[in-house]
Amino acid sequence: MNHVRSKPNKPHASRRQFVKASAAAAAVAALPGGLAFAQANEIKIGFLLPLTGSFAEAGQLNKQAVEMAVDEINRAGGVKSLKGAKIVPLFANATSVDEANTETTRLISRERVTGIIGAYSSGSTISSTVIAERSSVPYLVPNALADEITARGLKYVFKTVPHFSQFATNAAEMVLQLSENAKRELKTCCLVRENNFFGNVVGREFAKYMPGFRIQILKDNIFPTNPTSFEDVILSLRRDSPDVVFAAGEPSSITLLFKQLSELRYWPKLGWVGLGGGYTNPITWGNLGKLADGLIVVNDWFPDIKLPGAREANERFRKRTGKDMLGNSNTTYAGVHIFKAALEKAGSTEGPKIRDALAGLDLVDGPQTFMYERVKFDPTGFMNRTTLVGAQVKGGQAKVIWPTAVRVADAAWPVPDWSKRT
Amino acid sequence: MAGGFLSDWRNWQLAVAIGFVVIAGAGGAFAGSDYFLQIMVLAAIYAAIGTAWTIAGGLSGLLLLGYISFFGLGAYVDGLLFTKFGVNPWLCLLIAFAGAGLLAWLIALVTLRFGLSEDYFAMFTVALSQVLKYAMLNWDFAGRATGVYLTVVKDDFATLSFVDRKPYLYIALALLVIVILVNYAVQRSRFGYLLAAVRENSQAAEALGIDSGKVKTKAIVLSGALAGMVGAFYCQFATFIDPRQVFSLATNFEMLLGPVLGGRLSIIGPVFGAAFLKPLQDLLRGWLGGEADALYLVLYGAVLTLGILLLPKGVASYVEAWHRRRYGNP
Amino acid sequence: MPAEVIFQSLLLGILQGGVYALVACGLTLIYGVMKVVNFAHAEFLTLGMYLAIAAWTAGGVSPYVSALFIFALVCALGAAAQALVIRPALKHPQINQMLVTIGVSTMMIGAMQLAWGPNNLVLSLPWSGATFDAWGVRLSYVRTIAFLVAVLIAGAFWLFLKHAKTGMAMRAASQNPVAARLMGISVQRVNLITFGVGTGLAALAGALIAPAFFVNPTFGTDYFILAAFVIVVLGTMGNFIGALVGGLVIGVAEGLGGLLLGPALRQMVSLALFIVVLLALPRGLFRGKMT
Repeated sequence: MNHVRSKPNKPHASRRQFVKASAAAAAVAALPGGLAFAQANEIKIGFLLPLTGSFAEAGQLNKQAVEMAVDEINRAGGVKSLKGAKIVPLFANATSVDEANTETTRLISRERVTGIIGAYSSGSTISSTVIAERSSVPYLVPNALADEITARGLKYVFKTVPHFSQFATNAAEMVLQLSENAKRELKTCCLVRENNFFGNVVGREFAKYMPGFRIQILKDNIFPTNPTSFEDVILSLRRDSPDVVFAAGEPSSITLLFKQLSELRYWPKLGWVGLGGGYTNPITWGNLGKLADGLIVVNDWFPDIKLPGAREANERFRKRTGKDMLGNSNTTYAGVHIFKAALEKAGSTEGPKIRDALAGLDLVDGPQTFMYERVKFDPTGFMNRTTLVGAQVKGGQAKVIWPTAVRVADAAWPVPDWSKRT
Repeated sequence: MAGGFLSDWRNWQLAVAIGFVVIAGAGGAFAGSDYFLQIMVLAAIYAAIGTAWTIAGGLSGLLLLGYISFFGLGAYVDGLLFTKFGVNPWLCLLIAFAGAGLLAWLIALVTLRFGLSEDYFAMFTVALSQVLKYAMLNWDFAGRATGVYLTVVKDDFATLSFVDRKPYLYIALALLVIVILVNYAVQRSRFGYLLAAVRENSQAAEALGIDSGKVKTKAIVLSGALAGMVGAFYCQFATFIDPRQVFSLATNFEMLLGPVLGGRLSIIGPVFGAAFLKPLQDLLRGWLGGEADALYLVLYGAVLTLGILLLPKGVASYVEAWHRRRYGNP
Repeated sequence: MPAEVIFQSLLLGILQGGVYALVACGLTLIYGVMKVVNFAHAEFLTLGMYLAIAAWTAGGVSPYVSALFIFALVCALGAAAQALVIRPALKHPQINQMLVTIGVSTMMIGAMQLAWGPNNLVLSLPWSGATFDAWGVRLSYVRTIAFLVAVLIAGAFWLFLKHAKTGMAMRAASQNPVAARLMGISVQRVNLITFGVGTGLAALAGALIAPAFFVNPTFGTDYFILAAFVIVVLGTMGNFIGALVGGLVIGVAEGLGGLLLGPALRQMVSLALFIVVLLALPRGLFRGKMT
């Protein structure tokens, strides 16, 4: 791939030489992107992930989830309706919007991928899906939450992760039920959220839905990314004294926050509920150690859940990576299997056919049932799910405690504060 | 051959720069690959930013370190006016030009009034860029951390929105030509002489009756306004902006590498600097693959450091020396 | 807002300020003497943290012991960087110097990522989160130690610059390199020592604060660099007492600002303060004097 433009600023290069050199460079650059040929019987799928930078931990874990799914598919004979074609994953680093866009165009025009799965961050996903759309390349989103992703009338975009509003509604339902079981009143809450995409939207949803649940938001604490101290948030919480705290943030911030929470000995009356992303990342729990005991976390799945194949899938992942399949690695793993199911159904590598296959999917069995009882996309490309689940962390493990249908343990609620913990 | 015209270093640079832009445009027209078009548009944007920067940062000798403020402001002006009020993006380019110019004027006013030294001026501009970032992060109307996004599904010249990458390239190159012409005009004008005088020796210039404050102000305003215009275009091209992206310090420094390594007193320096460095960055990253990003950082950092140490006046100074030998002193 | 909450915020802010001052003092020295804005400062901080964690995981050495060795090691590294990279750049315009340090910063981030990976690493001492009660507030030992060390270093350097021969040479070189040379002071040697010690201090700070935070390759740049520059200017380049005071001012301003205006505006407060001071007191709180 040798097309770095020849640098024309050499001393002694005459103008004519320079013109010739630039023309040559431009000609090379103009070669149609045919240097990457797919081997016969290979299906290339592009994966946009943050493999370096602030989200590298999650990105790398997602990558391993992809590799596990691809291994399983290929060892079981590949895509049967395409004569056993094997899946070849192409990973591209997407740590910024520009990078995601550039890499998406590369995957599509140079690598000729059959589909794209990504891109972890909402901003990168919003912009790169547009690029895939106009090239008629199906794009599956198993890890970026923004509602906008499927709200723009794009036909080639499919999203398997929940809408933001569920983080508010399901979390409220959960704490109200837990409090009822413990015969405690829950009337007030505070929000502690990071000033990033997820945090912003969560705040919006809570403001919208809490009044309906009769939970008063005493204060909405928004902290900036990379704060060196949370003293202001914690002092404010202590003053407001809410029944429960709903929180969202990245692993780094959560690590610092909890260290300071324990130092300053503050804990809400009933408990602390962490939503999505950083709070359900096992790396966060590892970093916090005992500090994370009692934390309630909400997401779409945890390994200790009453669903077929859940424990087994997690065990396979643990064997591979030493970690639980959390932090979107579960949705990504499931996403690869879902895409493969679409390939099987389409029996073709043409974008429009795969797209139609995805749109018409209605799966109730297959590897993804460890997480999704039914896979079906609505006309906007969004996969409806019934509810998020809540789990409680102890000793680095999270056991699902809500809703009743899929729980594996009872919640310790109220969660004892620092002085009462062993 | 127009030997007379080309014997002037600035004329020669203009010819070469415009020639290069034309060739790039032609190359883009025949390029089959979206990937290269994407890289070329970004390179053109960086080249335009770099060339605009040299007016204040090179020719005036001002340590305008926090330059991305104007770029980011321009991007938001376009993003918000277009998505919230339906203002035509072409018009937004002009509004961003004016808005960024206004910000620049305020900066000049404040810093000159308070007599900030060079270093402090530099840090002031850097701090200001981050203040703008936090302001956008905390402003609901601007979308806070969720930013502003555009949805483009078909080509529409009237609203500067395209599905195809090529029109973006042509417009980016057109903007680059505008900036090059402004830079050229400044260098050939009396204003250019005033800038040079103030750059070389501010006090001597004052003694000769030159109002250095006014000269510097004009330079900063022009530089900032042009960056704002390019920023507005960027928003249309990227279709998604958020504060961390368009006010990023890392991007800020990347944009300055073109003029510094290329030669910040020249016209061709920032153009070729960006044309070389930005694609190098993107292609290196593509080559090394997703996870070798760490290696890429080491290599890229090494290239920068060595480049700056070995070519302190930028590559253009060598080209200028050659030009002098070739054409004799005009 | 009750008075006691404000008081607690003040105390916590002061401790946080100590951390900031500790991180900024090396930068202050380099800038004060050499007038070089070292954008790679944050990376030396991060390096110190990594080395402390390495010493802990490999040999169980407490960061409070390894800190001194780390200081010495990075001093040598910094001096080497100065001789190889910074010194040649000093002849060039300032913007080149700044960009050279940015190049070094990029290389260091890449190198640290190659060595230790991109993930967060944590140094958990058994007493990392331990606190003691003072005046009705719980203060963490780790941050208190960082604060005390910052005060110590400020005091030590103040004495050093005032009375020690090398210290006075540094002051002379910072005020007028040409005259200093004429007086027989080897400005080259002064710069070597300055840069070495300055970066060594950054690494020392890293080792000392490691137990209270976590580390990844971009930690320094993400969390501390902006505050460090604010403090350097606020405190008047080169003035260690100034850096201490500047750090305290920023620590308290952020804490109180976050409490009263909302945590999201924490960093805005320090930046706004920075801009105001830049304009109102262009030579910092201590009017441009190094001691």
